Amino acid sequence: MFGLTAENWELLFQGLLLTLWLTFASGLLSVALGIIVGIMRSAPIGLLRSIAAGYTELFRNIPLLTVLFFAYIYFGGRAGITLDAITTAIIALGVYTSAYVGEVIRAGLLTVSKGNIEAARSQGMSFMQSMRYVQLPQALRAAIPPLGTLIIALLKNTSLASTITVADLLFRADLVTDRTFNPDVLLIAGAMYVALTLPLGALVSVIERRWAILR
Amino acid sequence: MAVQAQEVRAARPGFDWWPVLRVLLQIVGVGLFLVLIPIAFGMEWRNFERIFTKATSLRFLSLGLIATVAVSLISILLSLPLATGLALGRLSRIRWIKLPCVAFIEVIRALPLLLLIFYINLRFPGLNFLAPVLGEPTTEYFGRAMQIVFGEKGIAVIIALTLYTAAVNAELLRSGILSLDRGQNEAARSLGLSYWQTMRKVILPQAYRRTLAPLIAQFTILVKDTSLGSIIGFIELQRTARIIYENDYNPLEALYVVAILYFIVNYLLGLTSKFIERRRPSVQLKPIETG
Amino acid sequence: MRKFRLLVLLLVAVFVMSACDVNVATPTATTAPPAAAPTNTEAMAAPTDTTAAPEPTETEAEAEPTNTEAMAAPTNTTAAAPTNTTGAGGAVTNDLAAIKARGKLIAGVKYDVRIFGYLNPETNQVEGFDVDLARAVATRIFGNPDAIQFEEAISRNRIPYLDEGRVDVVFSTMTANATRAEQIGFSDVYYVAGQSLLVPVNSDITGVQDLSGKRVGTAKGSTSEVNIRAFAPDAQIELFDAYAQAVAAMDAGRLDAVTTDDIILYGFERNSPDKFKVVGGQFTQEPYAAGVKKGNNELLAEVNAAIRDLKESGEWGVIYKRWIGTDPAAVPPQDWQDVYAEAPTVPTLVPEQATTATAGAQSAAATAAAAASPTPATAPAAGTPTP
Repeated sequence: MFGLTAENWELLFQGLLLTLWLTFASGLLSVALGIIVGIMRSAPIGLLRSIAAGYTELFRNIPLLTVLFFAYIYFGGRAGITLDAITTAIIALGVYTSAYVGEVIRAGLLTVSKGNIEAARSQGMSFMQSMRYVQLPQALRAAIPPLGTLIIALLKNTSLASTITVADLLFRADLVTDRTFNPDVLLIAGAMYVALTLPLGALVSVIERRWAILR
Repeated sequence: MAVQAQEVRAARPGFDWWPVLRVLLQIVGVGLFLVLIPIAFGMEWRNFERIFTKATSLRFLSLGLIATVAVSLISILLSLPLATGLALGRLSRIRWIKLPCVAFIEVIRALPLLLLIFYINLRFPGLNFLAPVLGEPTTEYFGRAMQIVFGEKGIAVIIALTLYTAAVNAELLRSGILSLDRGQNEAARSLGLSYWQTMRKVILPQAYRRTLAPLIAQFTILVKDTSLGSIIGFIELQRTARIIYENDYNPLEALYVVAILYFIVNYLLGLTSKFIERRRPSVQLKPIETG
Repeated sequence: MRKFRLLVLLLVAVFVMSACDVNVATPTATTAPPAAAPTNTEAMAAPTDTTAAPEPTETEAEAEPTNTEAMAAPTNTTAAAPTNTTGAGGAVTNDLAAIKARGKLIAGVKYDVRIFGYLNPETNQVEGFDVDLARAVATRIFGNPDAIQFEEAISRNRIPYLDEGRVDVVFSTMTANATRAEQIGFSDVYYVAGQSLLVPVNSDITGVQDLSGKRVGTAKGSTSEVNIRAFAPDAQIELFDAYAQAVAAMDAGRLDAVTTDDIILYGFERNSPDKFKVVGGQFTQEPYAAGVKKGNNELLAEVNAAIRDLKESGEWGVIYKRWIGTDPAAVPPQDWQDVYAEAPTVPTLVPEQATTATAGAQSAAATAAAAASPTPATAPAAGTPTP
């Protein structure tokens, strides 16, 4: 098909699988970290708020590529442990995206009405209890559509992992381009990305609309 | 803590010292952060020294900074009219205007930017069309900067960033236009203004104002995305860090310095956004944050 | 809204298919790596198309880029649309007449390989063995070594650059081999390098036989990648855009060794002898030759004449000494195929053949010592055990 050998197609599909895995793993990590950051940003302790704000500002203002290269070098041995490139990429992507997720969670927490929180606290719930049982469930719900947008962005961002030798879809496409001297292989990879992101985008907008009606 | 402080502030007459302390605390916090990170990651002072005492390293860094800022500014300026056109095109009732715009916006937004940069660089030769103007390779500082920014790779990065940012911002502008009261358009049209007059004088100014903050947030992302140019050999900040550490083998330190520079550039942009936000509150429109 | 998304998807599909349809006619099969068998029957048909084209007449090339162009470019840029030979990259002509009219030669060289092509940050000039040779060609054509413009040609883009006409000639530490010779024209050999290993100073790797299970870095699109897969089938190969990147990764502890042509590695060793060392001698023979667009025979003749003049006048030895640091042991043979004839084992990707390839490497290494060993300190045979 498209003038590519079966072997080259296989390379591309292996890359696609790795891209999906990177998205899944780093997405999970980023949501877990993001919830912590989001809670910290609305914590009653000023120091925690400042730390979380600093974390968010840091990762929102430096390029992912710099973070990736930094992690690639750091986890090469200086950290005391050596992680392979894929794990490194998952960590870097997860940490980087968690800053954005934290913002989304914080915005979600802001949508929870003051009455709700006050009611929970007056029942004798601690900050963490009120957070756990009252605020966070509502915040997460409000955060689902923007989280979807972030996951789409993350999927596209995984392509940067190709720069630290992770053999994802873009890396493979690049390799096949090299071997066939045909830049249009990149279009095939592009179509694969589009085929992944467009339905995801459609799903997000459907959820958004549904929930807008429900609320 | 903040609440308490405010209470204290309210209770005590006289000089309001809290804002001053706040700024001081922030400065101390940032300073601590700047020192703690290198310690936490085990960076070495002599590696920093090698960056700051070598004239070529400093020259390279400043060239990279100039390239990053210049390419960002050019892409921002180019992307705005394109985004406006795309947004209007997508809102058009004429099918043959609308459909290509929809397709363009959706496809470009769905592609990884790095792939776009790769493809433009590989597929379109002749992007060095400005080479005759730029002249022979030079060591002269300004000329060298121009050669980097308007060289083949620079143009490829500018094109990719412009297309991508325009597609994303077109969606922002469109939602800004849609958020306006429908009556505005109808009133303007019933006053006898043509479509273009309505757009230019009534709709677009309001849409711009409403979307300014998310637009600037998107431009922050654009600044960060210039770093992707380093992969195709465009010499911007990220690449200068690589050039430096591939010579001196001080990667963490070089990347750290570059990260700080990126942070400063983006933080200034973010401040602009906050400043504008305070003066003219925009509607809540989330930019598509891609990093 | 949703209807439009569907439409967009369709449009994308059409867009991609039309773009890829173009490729069906291109001879991808011939350009595939050695292991990739041409399974595509459509692609197989392409070479016959090429031979069906009329013979190029060199004198006509100046007027209209028709036959020559169609013949010259095996990639899709021109072969894609035979009716539109001037489209895309085809618009640029690189024949001798066009170069003379332009008044300067555009040469693709490396910017990050010390000794051969290196952008000196102090002077902002590219310098090295390759650069001097390219200047010699400019001198031959224009009588002026400065009638030249350099473009960065990294391993993965130098052949497309030739095809697209971005550069006239490539002097970029390029190994001449049969696969590449199908796509571009190779000049006389101007240097014979050999693949070797760069390891951290404290490493206990002594040669290619120690690489089993080790992490080895090299550049995408280089012959080094193909070779190392054959010589060290159990090694874990990691691919980078540039050698400098791989060496930086090795410095960070990511890799156990970096492999490519010894001469490139000596550049890294020379830059930081406290960090790296070159080990294992030469386990392949890499004849470096300049590349031009296929069919651009007039230019090729000029390049060859320039190289021959350098060799005959002894200027070649002067350039050699300037960059390599020692006097050359022997002048490289004219034809790149002769280099392989001396060391007949061109490594393949098939693992079974790897053992024979390693055995052949010793003869390769032995001849390499006679041909062009850059520093006498590294005895080529030291690392390879006798079977």
